[in-house]
Amino acid sequence: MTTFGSLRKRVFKRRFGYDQIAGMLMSLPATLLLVLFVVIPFFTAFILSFYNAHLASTHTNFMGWENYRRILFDPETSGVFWQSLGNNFQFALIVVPLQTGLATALALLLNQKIKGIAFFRTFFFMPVVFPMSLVTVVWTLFFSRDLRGMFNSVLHTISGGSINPVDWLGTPGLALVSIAIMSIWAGAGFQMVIILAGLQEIPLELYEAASLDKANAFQKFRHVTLPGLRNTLVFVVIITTIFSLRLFDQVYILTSGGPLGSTSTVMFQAVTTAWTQDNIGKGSAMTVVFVLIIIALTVVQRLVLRQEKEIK
Amino acid sequence: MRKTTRFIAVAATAALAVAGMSACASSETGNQSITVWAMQGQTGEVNAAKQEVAAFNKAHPEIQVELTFVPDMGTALKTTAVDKLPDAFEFDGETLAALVYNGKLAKLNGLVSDATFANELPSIQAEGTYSDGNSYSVSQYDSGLSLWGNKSMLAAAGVDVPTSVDAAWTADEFTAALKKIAATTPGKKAITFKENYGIGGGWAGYAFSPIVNSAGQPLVKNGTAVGAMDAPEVVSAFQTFASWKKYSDPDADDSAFQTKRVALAWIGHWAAPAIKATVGADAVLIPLPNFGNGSKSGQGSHSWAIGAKSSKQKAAATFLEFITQDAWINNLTNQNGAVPATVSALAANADYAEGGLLALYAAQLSKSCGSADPTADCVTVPRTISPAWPVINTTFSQAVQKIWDGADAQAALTEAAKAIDQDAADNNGYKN
Repeated sequence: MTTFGSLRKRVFKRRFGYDQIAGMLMSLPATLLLVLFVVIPFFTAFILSFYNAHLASTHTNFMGWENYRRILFDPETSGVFWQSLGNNFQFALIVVPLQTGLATALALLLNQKIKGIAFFRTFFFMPVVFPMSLVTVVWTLFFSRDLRGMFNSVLHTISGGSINPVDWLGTPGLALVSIAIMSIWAGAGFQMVIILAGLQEIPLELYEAASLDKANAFQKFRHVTLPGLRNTLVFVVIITTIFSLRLFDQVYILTSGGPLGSTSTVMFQAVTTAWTQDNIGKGSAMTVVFVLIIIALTVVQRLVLRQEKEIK
Repeated sequence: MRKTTRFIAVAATAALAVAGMSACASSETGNQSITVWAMQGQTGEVNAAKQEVAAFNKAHPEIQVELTFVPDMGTALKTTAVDKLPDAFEFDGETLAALVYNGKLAKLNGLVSDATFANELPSIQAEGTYSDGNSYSVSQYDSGLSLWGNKSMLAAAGVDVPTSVDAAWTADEFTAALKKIAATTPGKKAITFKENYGIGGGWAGYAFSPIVNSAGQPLVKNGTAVGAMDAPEVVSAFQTFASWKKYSDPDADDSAFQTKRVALAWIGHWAAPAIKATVGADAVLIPLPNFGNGSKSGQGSHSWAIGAKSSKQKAAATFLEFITQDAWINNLTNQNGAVPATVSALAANADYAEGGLLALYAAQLSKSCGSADPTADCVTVPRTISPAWPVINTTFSQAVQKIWDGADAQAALTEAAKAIDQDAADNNGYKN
């Protein structure tokens, strides 16, 4: 039986115990930055979304839910938002499994104890170091639709001229895939490093025990490595999903959302609406809707892919 | 991209704070210093600005200019409150109306002498005049837009070259010429439309709005885009435009014309120095094709203005008068290849005289349509002088990109026109 007194004592201790205070103090800098750069801007955007507002802001008027109606429901203007949202999910569907898979494969390869492994690790991490905008500008040359484009030129040469030049970024249906390929190449190194760290956390004793049980390499991977990586992989999948939903730089530089809106994303629409068209209100409304969607998605993902506290 | 913009805004604000502090230090009368923002453009432009300011400070010991280069002037001016603006600044002329609408520019009538205005090209006068009839800017240079041709390649293709506006190819003749050129060119391409600039990113607003005008319409007529931008003759012109894609070099390396892969380039004056250096004596300027209402072209470039709340407007005007003298205009245009913005500087320049390499630019700009709807007789059309221009520009450019990518021209242009009209309605027609 718990008496009221002891309960109060315990709550008091939990709330104001030394650990709690230290914990709060330590999280303070991060919390402060999050509030300053995420929470406050979000609420500012929420307020702005009800206005016809411009950066210069000398002419601002209240519009109620009109911006939301136009983005989500107006048959004449809502098409682009839904198309962009669809593109976002399509992109995530391509990128999340492929990039996580590639990163895991790279991490497994680079977890070997061979000479010069640090060189290879640096090498595969390199694309992450370059700013995405820089990488993207270089890839415009690879993707060029004439034979001067690297991909077309390589395909043309190895096929003895039988493969005609492909318009990588100008063909609806292919453009988003092209951007996905580039993004996976540029981003996989980051996930690789996280998974590499996860791999090194797995106790060697488990592998030794598996060897004693005469497990082969695949069985070790299936029954030791994968369960050991579970929490890491859950984290990687969630963060890759969020990264891929945030897709912007590549689209802005490579295609401006084209052809025919097939690579337009919500971020691209929000940024160009707010900055290029100077329509801060509508841009803000888009980001508010998008944040709610991402939060919902992350909650669902966390429920489905519940992290485990202990390794079985 | 977004981070960069934000960084620039912060950097500009910081630069401003420093500039503001030093401005406070000087007295209103006698010796004073004025703050000036110039665009961080090409090397030649930056050098020219530095040279001008040094010369001005020497010639006017009573006024000292403190020069700051700003990398993203558009964002800096948008995000800076009017009382924090510098005394004088350079800006992209297409944003003039939006800046006036937001009360950021001072009227220059009375500050800048009538003689200075009278010596400006008509196109520049039109660009600097807001709908209230007042002038808000002066310029050192204008832009030129047309086709560059490679004479030898065109001759090899058996194509006759029109060199005056009146003799411009019709759209059909242009299509036939592209076909002939492509057939005789190794890469089977005939022209670069500078797709690498990004059609949907605003390039179309400058380079392809002359197609609308040549079809007989402005982008926006009497405040409405529906019925103008999406008129049947415009739709048909853009269907023709889209049919040229098969002849277009994507130009990912930005040098299709310079390296003689194509015989034609649809491009502005800024390519002239590089083209002179590579194509040389084979280079010739050709007017843009005529879609029925005469060949049309673009105009307008960077301009200079005075902050609406500046307390040193007289001194700032003295600086603007100084840099729009022919000597300093020539010093700048010799370095960036642009068209000198005064009648006298243009007349004295052999390149723009009858028979000169760039004579077509001068001939086009001498027939500016001004802010009126384009007629068959005028040639260059300013980008719509309206606070709505940023919206018109991006919306129209995206529509052109869609058409280029294969969308139905009528649907794309009508959708864009409706969006532009909705924005105008939201803002009460942009009345002050």
